[in-house]
Amino acid sequence: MQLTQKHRDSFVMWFCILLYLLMIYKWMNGLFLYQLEPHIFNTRFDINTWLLMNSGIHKWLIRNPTGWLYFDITFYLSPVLYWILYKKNQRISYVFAGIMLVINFIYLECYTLFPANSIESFTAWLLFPLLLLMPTISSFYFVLNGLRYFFLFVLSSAAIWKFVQLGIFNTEEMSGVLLYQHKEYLVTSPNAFYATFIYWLINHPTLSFTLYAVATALELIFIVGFFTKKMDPYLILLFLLFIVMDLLIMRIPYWEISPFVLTLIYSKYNSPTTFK
Amino acid sequence: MFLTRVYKYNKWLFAAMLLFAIAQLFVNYKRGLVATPFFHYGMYSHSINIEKAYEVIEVEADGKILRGQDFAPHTWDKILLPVVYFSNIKQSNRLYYSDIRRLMGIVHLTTKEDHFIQQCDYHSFEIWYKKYLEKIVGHSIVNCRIRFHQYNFTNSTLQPTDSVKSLTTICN
Repeated sequence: MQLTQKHRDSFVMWFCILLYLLMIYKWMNGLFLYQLEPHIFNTRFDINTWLLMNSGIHKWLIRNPTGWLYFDITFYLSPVLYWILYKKNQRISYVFAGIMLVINFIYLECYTLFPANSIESFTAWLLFPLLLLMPTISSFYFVLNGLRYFFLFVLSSAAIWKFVQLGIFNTEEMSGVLLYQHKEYLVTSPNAFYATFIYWLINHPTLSFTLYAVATALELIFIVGFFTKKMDPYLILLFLLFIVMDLLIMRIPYWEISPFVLTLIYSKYNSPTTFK
Repeated sequence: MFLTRVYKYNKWLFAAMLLFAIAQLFVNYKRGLVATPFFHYGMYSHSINIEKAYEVIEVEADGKILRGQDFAPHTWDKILLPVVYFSNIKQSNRLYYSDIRRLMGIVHLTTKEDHFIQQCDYHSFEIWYKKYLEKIVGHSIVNCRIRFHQYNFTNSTLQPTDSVKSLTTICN
């Protein structure tokens, strides 16, 4: 079946729904900027971050608490504004998608400079406005598929890095990772069930390494997506499994990257443009 | 091939996608240096062994050490991350003198030192952190202490040592 305007409409709708579900999740966990009340920042090795930092906007935010609220409102209001414009006047909505791209970039750059979350998990929020910018259904199709390849790259490159940086060849790896990741939890809650479980994994390096190897294999499987789309339903399930396991074993909530799943769901539709 | 079809459809879109792919691959090739939204996804990919000793953050509120088991993952991160960031101020500042000024100078961009540098003002951090913590735990706190306590991994568990550093000494 060819990708049609109807599919695009449902994509945009689901994208907005996902963003607002994530927004509720972030608000409930006190992760809005106004709830974090930033006081301090950490400079990362990122050229584009430096360009933004050079404007001093992050320091202005630290000094101006009202700015936190303005930032939150602008950032979280833009998807619904886009949606309204998309329904009323698609031409203007494409222009607004460009504005959304800038809003998301500035907000997320500042947000992740403060003690909140790593910027890598917000890649979908940074890149999806590019898709919403596309004026024709054909260009939408190509950018959607481009983002699908990017998502496959993110996961499969994570596996490849484990080979390049030798983590996969170290049988003590996962025990070392678990100790580093959970040291504060283990020390402050040594008798908790979760601490007992983590200690058990740490003290059974073969078993914990098997988990690490399985996670690497799981990431590596995403390479299949470069050659066929037939496996996409299974890749969706594997990705969800990956996110849940990340939360259970590493206590890393990685939900922000979930909008990328939409690229796998909508990949089943064919190009609206035919080529000779 | 996907890119061939993009080329046939629109050469500008093809050029944009090709540039995007090259930028992503370049960031992966260079390692270390990134440029939003081009990152490398290599977290926990380098070789990590079980260490003999670990520096552990302990946050004490009115004589009680906060316990990980009492907080959801995000909340626990919210408690620990500001401490990590404060202890990292020197390193964060060093990045400006070692790389930012030099690399931005190459493209003739004048950098404003003040926008990249923070002071190790523990007193101000302590006042802010106490208020911040009160909102997380849901009650007022009279005394709040933060320290880096060294633990040794012996007999299959983390055992406390006598080595304790205050956050002030780490930053200054």
